[in-house]
Amino acid sequence: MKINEEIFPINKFTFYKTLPLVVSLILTFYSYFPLPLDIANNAKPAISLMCAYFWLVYRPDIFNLGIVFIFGILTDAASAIPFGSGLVPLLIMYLLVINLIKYLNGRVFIVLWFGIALLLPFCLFSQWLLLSFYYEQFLPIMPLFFTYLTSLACYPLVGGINALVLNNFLQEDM
Amino acid sequence: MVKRDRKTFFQFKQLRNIIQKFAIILAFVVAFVFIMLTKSETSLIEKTSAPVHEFIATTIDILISPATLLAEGYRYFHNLRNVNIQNQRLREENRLLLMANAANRAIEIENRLLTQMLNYAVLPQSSFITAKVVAQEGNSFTHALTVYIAGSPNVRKGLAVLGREGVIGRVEKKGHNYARIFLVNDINSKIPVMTERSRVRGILSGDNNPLPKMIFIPMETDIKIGDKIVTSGLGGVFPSGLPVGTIVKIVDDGALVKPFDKLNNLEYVQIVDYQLPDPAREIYDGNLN
Repeated sequence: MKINEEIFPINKFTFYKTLPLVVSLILTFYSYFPLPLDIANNAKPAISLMCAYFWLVYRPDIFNLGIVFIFGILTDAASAIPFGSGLVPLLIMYLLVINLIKYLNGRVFIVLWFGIALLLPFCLFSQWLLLSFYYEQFLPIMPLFFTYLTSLACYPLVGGINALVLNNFLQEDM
Repeated sequence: MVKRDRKTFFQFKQLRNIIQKFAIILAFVVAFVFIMLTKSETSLIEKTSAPVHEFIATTIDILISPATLLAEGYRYFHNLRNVNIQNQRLREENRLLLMANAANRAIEIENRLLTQMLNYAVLPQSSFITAKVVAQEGNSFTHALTVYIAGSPNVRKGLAVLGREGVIGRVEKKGHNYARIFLVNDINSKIPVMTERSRVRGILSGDNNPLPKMIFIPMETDIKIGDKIVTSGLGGVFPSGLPVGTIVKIVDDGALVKPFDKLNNLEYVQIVDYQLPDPAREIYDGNLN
């Protein structure tokens, strides 16, 4: 009986464990809301990467590789970019955060903001390089730079919404 | 029994550890396989992703509906402030249009007579649907719209999409209720165009920058800043003469074109089927016959 519980850990918090994925998907889908702004339609913030970063830092046990993979597949299906090319930067973010978790976990917000400012360029640039190979021409770099800036500017909001979910539903030890 | 259970559990744990070690590599491999399948344009990805996109587009539409309502409410009250000025402007515009209408009628009759005299082959009637913009994506990697087509059977891949002022893109993917449109500045967009004044032909090509570029222009041709760009009609998707934009800058390998429509402020678009014969198909059928 004990073995079964270890293999299939079903308890009352199972539903809450899906919340990081659900909230990340909702926020990513909301980023497709058409806004009449030049910056919003040429340099949309990388919401999916920000959400992945937040949950990988705070709850890597719930937001594990499998969830990152599902998240990547669903965001790719929603996006117009070639299928699979949104998954690669998420996997890179996973690799980076998992290897740097001891420097990020339990730190104050400003350190985490600095953390994403350092990690985001690797993910965005890898996607840029991948899609440049895909289209056999260099994609414009300036909108990418502005995407980086808008992402940094939006991180407090995105992080704040995710933190609300974390504090209200996922703070108890599961 | 207990021993066997323990042994099974141990093996399961070992297997899980091995999978965990290689899972990240496997995930990267799967991602690259997806990309290669998309690149090879196999129907597998398109067929699989179409229903998923339909489901996600519905989810996005439902999720953002409160925000859309709020935005529409704001726009309504914002417009109320300008209603008097707009009314004056519309009255003046209406007066000018009535005058132009009378002149156009005379031109229309003259055109009909001349068409009969020349025995000109008239193009088939076009049909269109108006679709609401549900989602918009714009960054270094893509510029696309998702629109609600309400199950219209007349929409299909490749059709021309117009805004209020001119061409804005073409249909890339069609689901039951939603369609995806690549805007003219998307890297996948290639539209045969020409300058209205000097009839210089080229291809309007997106490269994910805010402004698309007119490329493949013959050397030392008569193009200048301010020239209007219209579709050339080559390729058989767009008829000739549809307004596209204006040349704003001449660069080494072409000219930057500013579309007539503001691509970041599209609420409704028209998906138009000009029912033009496909030249490739006509040649193919002709060869067969």
